[in-house]
Amino acid sequence: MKVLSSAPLSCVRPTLTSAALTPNIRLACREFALRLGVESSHSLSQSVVTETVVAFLKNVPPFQFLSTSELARLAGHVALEFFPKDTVILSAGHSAQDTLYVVHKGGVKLTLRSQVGKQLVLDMRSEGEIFGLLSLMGRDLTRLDVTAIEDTLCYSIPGKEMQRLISSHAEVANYLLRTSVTRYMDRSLQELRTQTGLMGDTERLLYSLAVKDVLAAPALLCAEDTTIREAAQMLASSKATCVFVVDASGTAVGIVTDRDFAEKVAAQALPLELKVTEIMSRPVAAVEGSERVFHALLAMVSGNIHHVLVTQQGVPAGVLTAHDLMVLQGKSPLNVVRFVEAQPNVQDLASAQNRISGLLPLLLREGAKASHVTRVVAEVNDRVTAKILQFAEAKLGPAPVPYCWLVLGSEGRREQTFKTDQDNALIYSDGGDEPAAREYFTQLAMFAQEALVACGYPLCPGNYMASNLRWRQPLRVWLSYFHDRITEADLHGTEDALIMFDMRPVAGDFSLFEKLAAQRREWLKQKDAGTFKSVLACISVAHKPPLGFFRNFVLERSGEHKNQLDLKLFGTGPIVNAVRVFALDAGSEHTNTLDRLAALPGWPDRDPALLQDLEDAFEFLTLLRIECQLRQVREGQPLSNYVAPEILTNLQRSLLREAFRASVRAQAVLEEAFRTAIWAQMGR
Amino acid sequence: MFRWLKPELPQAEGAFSKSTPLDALRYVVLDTEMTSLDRRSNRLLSIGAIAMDGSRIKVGEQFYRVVNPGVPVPAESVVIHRLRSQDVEGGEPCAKALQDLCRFIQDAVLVGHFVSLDLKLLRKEMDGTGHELNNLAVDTARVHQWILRHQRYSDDLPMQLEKLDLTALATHYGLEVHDAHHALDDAFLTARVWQVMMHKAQAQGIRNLGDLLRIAGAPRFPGRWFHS
Repeated sequence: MKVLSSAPLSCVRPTLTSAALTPNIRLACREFALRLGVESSHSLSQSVVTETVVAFLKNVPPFQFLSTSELARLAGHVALEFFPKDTVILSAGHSAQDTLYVVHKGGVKLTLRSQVGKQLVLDMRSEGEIFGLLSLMGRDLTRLDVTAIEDTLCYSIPGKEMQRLISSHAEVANYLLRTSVTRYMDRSLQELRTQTGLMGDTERLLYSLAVKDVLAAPALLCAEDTTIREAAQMLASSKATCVFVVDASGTAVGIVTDRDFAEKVAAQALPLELKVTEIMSRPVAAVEGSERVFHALLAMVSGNIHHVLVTQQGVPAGVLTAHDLMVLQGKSPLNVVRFVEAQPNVQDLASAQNRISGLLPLLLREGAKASHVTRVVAEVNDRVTAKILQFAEAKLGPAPVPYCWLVLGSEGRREQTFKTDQDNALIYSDGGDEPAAREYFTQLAMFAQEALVACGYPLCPGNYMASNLRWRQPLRVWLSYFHDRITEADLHGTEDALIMFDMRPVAGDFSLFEKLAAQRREWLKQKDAGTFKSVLACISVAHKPPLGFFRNFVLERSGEHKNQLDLKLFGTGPIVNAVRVFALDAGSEHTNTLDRLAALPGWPDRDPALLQDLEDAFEFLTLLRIECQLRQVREGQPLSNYVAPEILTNLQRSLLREAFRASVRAQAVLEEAFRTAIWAQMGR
Repeated sequence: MFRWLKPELPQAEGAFSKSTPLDALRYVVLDTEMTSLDRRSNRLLSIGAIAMDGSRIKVGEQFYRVVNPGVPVPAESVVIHRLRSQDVEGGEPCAKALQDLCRFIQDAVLVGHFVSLDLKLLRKEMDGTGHELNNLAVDTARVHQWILRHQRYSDDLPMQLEKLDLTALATHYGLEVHDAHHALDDAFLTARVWQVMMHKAQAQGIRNLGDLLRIAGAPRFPGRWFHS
């Protein structure tokens, strides 16, 4: 429809005022026009209020393509809406709203609820950005929630007006079509990940290809009354790794994977004549063949599953596996692990490790959560370490007594981002020929240290390494370390404890570590461990997150990182430390911060949302650290945990502020729980 | 289904029941400029109004009229509203402007900052024209005072505000403030203040029209008291 843009509104209003209409209807139309305050003698473009709207929309794509008079006309249909923080503006599962929103002030998050009820933040929109578009175009937006992340003002534009613009302005249509494909699905990645210049061809495949175009295998189907034995035979005779159970109507009701046979059938020794329905998982994650590959990836990441059923108009058609997606991406973490295993010597391992460095950006591009990325990184580091110890044993001969190689600190927590320092230790068994053992493990530790350096893991400046005699001791000495630490705690020297309690075995005889851990658990339960815990609490609240960061810029005051913020010391650090104390107090054996959080029995009533907030804050801070380091790699700078605030987007800043708030709350809970003990320590 | 086709009868009273939720009300936020604050002699100069559908400010549903008061505009008021005698000479006759205003308002709930002042003037000007403005009205200054009295301590807004003028209030609620004293501009700013307040009031238990009138209703017929 061609629009006379300069015409006053009444001219383009409904053409119902023809003579054929009854007087009543004409009256109604006039009333209607009057209600809208529209009268031919008063063009809206004269209004100061309208000018404000026009001036704003002028800078917002796709409205920037419109002339001022067209914008003034559009402004006549616009409403200004206010959504207080946390208002759910659009809700998943509700019918599509016929409105396009333009954020005027504030910001919103677009989230997806996974089948297990977790919220996955898909995208953020801030000032000058639009949302609600897909519902407008009749697309599938019913799975998205849109929530105001702060007090937010939006202009809302009725769908009818947008349709009119789309049909009359090719630029508007093009813009909206383009963004509806890339922007909606990819904005979070664009904003948080490909800002680092990582957008490559493979991503475009991921976001442009339909699932059916990459479909690798047809789905194996079986009826509900199939026995476990029959299903196993089906799997064995095909290359598939899963079979879908369908009911009489042909709808998939469950899935059985090769892991189910191992974990449920073999491990529990279930009779093979049972029905598959006994062991199947449900519900089945499914995507339509016409949907983008990205949706399948989201389903996998959010459900932490590896198989997604592909349907054709609801009918099971094929199966897409995580492996298929990784092949699409070109590299698979699985391949990387095998790659490490295949290296014959330290030199080759070093060059292999070098190539693996490309893994991190790849994983980020796959849309993995930061915590998944660090876990994969830890897995690779563990494999490299184990491989190095194999080389050492090949050179030095078998160990005279059993030993266990431990990693400490962030490596122990599986929270390393890029390659960081070596933090390791060694326990060996008591007894046997002690001087010989001492000599052997000295050699072993030296070999490992050099090889790790060759593979790109720099020395630990704090000397927390097995090459240091202090951290290379028989079990009885280790036991005495922990005993002394726990029962004779004072403020000095407890910093070791921060690293020692994030200890994890990676190679050798794990039972040595188990003995140590069991004894440690006993000691922590005893009454005199209270002092130790309060000392730990005291250290853990020492670094306050800089809540005033955005007003006063609490940054490094001098030196190389002047005016920058330390994301580890002030960001992830306070959360790691606070959570560690609670985990130890609860008797948890986990080392990973998120695992510790998940295993906490409960949280003080004072702040029930804190657990979830801490998890989100930790994920975000980790992601931010990874990004900053990726940027450093790209710009050829040395790796650090520092970030200059000016490179952060507004969105990142406000998320950072939220994250800091969460850690301050955690510290407050900690301080309250250990208040008297902390004061006593301070007074000493 | 064809309900909208039926001509709506003027229903100044009872158009909305007291139990209508705040979000389901139609509001007209208005502001006037006048020759002076002397309520015996002052005359209407301009009217600005903007409609709200619940908390949605309908940018397109706006109303602005400059009125010819038929008397010279006092110099001391010109510096406030910047309408000189020659600016209002071309304005509409007051009766016509008020007729249009009533049509624009329909049965909406009126909202204004110290709205009683505007209402007194409008009702005075309407006297004898056959038009009446009996709509329910809400004073944003009173809503604000109520919110201050009932706000939780955790809110980070200051507990007291020295001034109650529109600019001070808008700043208080985090809105950017422009050059004021244009009736439509001020009506728009008042609408934005009311939009924020509405959410705060709702959060503090003000659910429907009845609640709202209880805390911030303007006297219905101040003019009649004045005349009687």
